[in-house]
Amino acid sequence: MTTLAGNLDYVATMLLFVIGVWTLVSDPNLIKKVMGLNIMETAVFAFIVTSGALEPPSPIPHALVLTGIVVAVSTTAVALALLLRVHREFGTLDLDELRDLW
Amino acid sequence: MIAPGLHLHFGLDPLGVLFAATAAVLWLLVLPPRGARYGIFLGVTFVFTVGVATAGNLLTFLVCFELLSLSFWPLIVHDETEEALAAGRAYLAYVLTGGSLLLLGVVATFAATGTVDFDAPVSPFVTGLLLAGLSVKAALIPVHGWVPRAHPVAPAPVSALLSGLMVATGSLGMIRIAPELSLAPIAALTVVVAGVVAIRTDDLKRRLAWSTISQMAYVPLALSVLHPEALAGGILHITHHAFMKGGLFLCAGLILHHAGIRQASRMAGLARQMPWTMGAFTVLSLGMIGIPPLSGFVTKWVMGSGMAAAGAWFSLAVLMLGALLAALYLMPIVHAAWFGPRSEVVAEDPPIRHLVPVLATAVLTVVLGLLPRLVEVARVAAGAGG
Amino acid sequence: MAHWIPALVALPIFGGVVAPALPRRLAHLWALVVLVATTGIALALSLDAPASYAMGGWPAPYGIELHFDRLSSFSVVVALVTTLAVAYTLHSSGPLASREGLAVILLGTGGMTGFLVAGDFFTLFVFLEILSLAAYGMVAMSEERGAGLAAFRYLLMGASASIVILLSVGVVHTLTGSLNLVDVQQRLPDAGLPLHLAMAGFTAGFLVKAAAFPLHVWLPDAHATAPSAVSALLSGLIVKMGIVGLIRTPGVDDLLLWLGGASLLAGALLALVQTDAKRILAYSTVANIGLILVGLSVERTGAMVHMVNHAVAKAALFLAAGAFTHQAGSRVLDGVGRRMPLTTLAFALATISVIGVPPTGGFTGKWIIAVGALEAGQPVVVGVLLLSSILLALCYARILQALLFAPARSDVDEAPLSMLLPIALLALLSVGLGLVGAPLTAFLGRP
Repeated sequence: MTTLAGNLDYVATMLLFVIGVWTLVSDPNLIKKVMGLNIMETAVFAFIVTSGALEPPSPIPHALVLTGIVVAVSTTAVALALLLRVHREFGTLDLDELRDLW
Repeated sequence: MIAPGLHLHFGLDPLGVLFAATAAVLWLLVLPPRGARYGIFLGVTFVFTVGVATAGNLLTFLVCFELLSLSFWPLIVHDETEEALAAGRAYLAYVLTGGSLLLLGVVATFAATGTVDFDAPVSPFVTGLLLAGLSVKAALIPVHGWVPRAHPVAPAPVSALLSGLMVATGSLGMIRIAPELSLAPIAALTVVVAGVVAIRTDDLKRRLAWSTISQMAYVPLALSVLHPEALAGGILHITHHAFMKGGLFLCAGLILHHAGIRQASRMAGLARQMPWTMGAFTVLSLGMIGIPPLSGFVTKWVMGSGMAAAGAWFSLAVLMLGALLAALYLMPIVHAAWFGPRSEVVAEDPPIRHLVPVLATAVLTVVLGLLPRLVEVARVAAGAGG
Repeated sequence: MAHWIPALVALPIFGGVVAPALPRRLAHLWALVVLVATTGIALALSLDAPASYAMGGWPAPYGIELHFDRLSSFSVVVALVTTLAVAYTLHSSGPLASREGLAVILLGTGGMTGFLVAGDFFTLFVFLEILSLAAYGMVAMSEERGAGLAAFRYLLMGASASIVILLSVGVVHTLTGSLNLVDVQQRLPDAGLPLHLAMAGFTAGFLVKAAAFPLHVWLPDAHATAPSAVSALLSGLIVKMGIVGLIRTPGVDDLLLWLGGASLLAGALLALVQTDAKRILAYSTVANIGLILVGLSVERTGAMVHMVNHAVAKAALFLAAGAFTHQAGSRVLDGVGRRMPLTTLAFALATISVIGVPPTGGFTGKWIIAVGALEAGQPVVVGVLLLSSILLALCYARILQALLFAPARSDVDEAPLSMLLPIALLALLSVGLGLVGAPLTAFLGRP
């Protein structure tokens, strides 16, 4: 179980996580950053769900992920609401432009 | 009560009582206050000075010491000029650093011994920390920098308090801790260097400030001799210097206010127009130099005999050199004021009610010199507090 | 008594849910009543600690267990400070004083109390998110330009931290099959690298929440734009939840020592170059969090003591700063203090506590941690601590100097009672807690 091939599913989720981090950090558009955050969150959910396939089977990972999804949705909602305000105040959602405006 | 193992402890011993009594008289002399804020902090600083005097352990001393330093700040910057505010910031930087070093020493003492008593046995390094923190307040070179900056900008009565007793609280702490480390070299250096700089300083208040640095260094010098007689002299010097230097600063304030003069070089012939003020100034100066039978002479005599008895010839030489330097930076002013050419400055003696505190200090300088009782008290204080 | 633990959490949340439905005048009163009641419950529980409550009667490890221990007694501070902050906003007209604003504050309080009594990672995560979302929202409840952006930045960093924490929870469960806090703590000494890596994940996540250097970057902007009452809650309470998280998930002591020292220095140095009073206060928080981190690694009781004292003092400072700005009509504070002597007095008292001058509360924690550091053989940290204190003291002196020693303005009046009372109470508390430092330490030090 400690080989790369044996843990491919975990590797895949971590790869997805890294993609999410990259998007969050490097893309100047604020909405893209929120998307990056969502990708990170999805990756973690995938990781946890995958771990629920272990013996003995446990319902806790499912509960964890459901909670996590609710949190992620709420967070995204708040984030987008904040972005509406940012756009109203500054007229742009690009971080480079915002830096000059603030 | 403040933290596990820490207690605030106040006590009355001869040294503390003497210090507190000196403070009481000195604070009385600098009344009346110049406004509500001034008056409030005048009272607050007095309370904390008494607290420092009666502190029974390192922690209590630290608490009152720190709060005293902080509460002097609004008094120093009272006039709110650019210069005063800048000097105030420098003052804060110095006393906060000194206070932190002192705190570090107290923390180290507690970590090493589990107590915060004055005589807790600690390593020389920890003692060094405590002394370093106290030296900033006591204005030993090289941490004396706040003194020449703060005194000229502060109102004259505040300078009187600063020079009179605030600096002395640092020395008091040193006496309380009674270290075995010798501060003689630094103290001696301070006495001499500060005296020399005083001679070359023209601004009257700043000259007096350097004089304070020089004179207050006598106390650690006497302490390092490790002889009770010298220590008694040092303790007595705190009291007498407080009145003499306090009076001198009050004179400087009157001269500034009623003659518009800040520099010593412009005081020629002033005595003819302000005889009472300059008369007091003369008496106080003679006391500072140590002319018998004034109080300044008594302290030097007691310190000197203690140093001689302990065979500390170097310290004795420094003591006398300091007196000589005092003569060099005070007598020319006195001489020029009485015998110099008449100056064009229009000045007159201040009204009686402003003169009274100054005259009182001059009288004290004379009277205290004639009171052997006070020397006895100092000796007891040295025995008990040393 | 233990059955009051769920009430501690449920009451503020219920209050928050109900608040938007009430008429406007009533909402404030409702919020205050709920918060006062929460304070009372927290106080009663603190005197009876430790206690446990199993939700629904299901025993651990099957059910959710709520624990009220010494650390949970911080909920008294949470509820009290929030009560005073809400009282402060009584006459405010900004978005924070609306029904929705009060609802968010109440939900945040419920999140914090829930976080403090959580007995397992799952519950910990849920309440962490509740309080975090409330926090992001609160920062945006300001009419200041840029508040939305500051809140968004806070959200990005906070949500990233939260997701790392969730990942760590998942890993912990995978490795140990358990989510119980105590259980996992007991397994740590024998565990291999993966479990420790998971704990490192927790540490990283909570360090962001606690605004420790170098993950503090969201804090100054949030403070500069948020309403003062929110700043009081943010610096006083919400970042402390990050610390609570670190305590609940023991990690690497040495790392905390180094990061704490770095925060102490960075906070002090960055504060020196600021010109806005609120930013100075923000960086002072970073430095104090650094002190608490150092405490976590050398003397945990000292960290908890300082959590309490800093919360009270920093809340007083932010509320007072808000009062100055409110009365002066601008961020320029020159001479304002002369016309607001009581507020300035309270500000000065709280300043003395934050600097750590004895015998105020700020000194107690500083002392215990400094002694602990020396006994643990870390004298350099103590030097850093003192240097940081000096530098911060000079920054506070600059603020006081501007308030008191600049020419007075004639158009400024003393703060209204609704603002003055909470500020005065907090300032007096910050001094008073110092006078009872030993009993407080003893109380927090018991398990």
